[in-house]
Amino acid sequence: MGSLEDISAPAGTRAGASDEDLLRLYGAGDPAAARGLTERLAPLAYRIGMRMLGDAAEAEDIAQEAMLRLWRAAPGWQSGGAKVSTWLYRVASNLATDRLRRRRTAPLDDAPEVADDRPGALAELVEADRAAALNAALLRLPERQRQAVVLRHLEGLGNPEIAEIMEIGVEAVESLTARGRRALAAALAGRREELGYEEG
Amino acid sequence: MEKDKDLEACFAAARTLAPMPDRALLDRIAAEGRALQPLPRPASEAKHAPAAQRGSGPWRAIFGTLGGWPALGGLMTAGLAGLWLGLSDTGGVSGYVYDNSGEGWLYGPADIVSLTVAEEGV
Repeated sequence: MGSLEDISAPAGTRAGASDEDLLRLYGAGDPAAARGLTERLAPLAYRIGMRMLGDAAEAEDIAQEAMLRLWRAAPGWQSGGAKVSTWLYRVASNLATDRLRRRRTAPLDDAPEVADDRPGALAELVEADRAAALNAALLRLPERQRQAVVLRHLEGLGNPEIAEIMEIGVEAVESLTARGRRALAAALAGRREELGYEEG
Repeated sequence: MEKDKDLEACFAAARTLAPMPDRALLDRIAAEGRALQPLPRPASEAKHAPAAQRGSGPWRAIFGTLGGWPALGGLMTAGLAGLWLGLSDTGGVSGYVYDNSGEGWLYGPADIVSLTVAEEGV
């Protein structure tokens, strides 16, 4: 981790600075640090919101609220604790879960559909259809399975970090992702031809 | 296995087409961050900040209240000076307590106490 001195260049040029470095700079009043942290971390919270809730407006709310909590936590941030990104994943996941519990309705038939009428975009359409089918199937999973699958297979996190985010054990994470994968595979099995897979 | 391959292809597609926030949202979030950001510290303060933040707790608070190291140095000097004055008056602790071969006892508080004891025969 760099010191304040060795990362004193403008935040926009600090490609090598860690999130923790940027957060310390933010806490010290560096004018460019807020922008640097936003560019790195707000998309992460937005993705969690979208994949957990399937709604752009709610995902925006979650990104804004999660980042607001980060701004407030920054001055007293303890570098010995969780990574900034892990902390933000946890905050965004909890915010999304809270909203899911308030909804208490499974939007089985409201899954977002992808419509792309551009000519010559067949491969892109297939890709988009697969992504849309997966997102729709994700929204039908129980919330904990959904959260674990999103963090593991879409955000690419390791099981120990997911365990930290979800505040459960690594074995529980493995169990949730395995069950989630099985449910997703079953949900997508009936759409193989539609999604461009050859029968066989 | 076939199902796994299909599922992996869907995961890959979803990762490639990850949802992204629009620029207006990022601008709003960054502006909010700037509005809530602590004021910049002066360079000299930032330079000495790690030393200033060392230690905490009630003893450090008391230490700070007393005035820190300069005040403590003054207190120690005054204490040592008082000790020296007291001991040098009779030539040391042993003479002060046990030397009763001299002419008088009026050397200090301990002598007054000794005289009182002798007069009252306690």
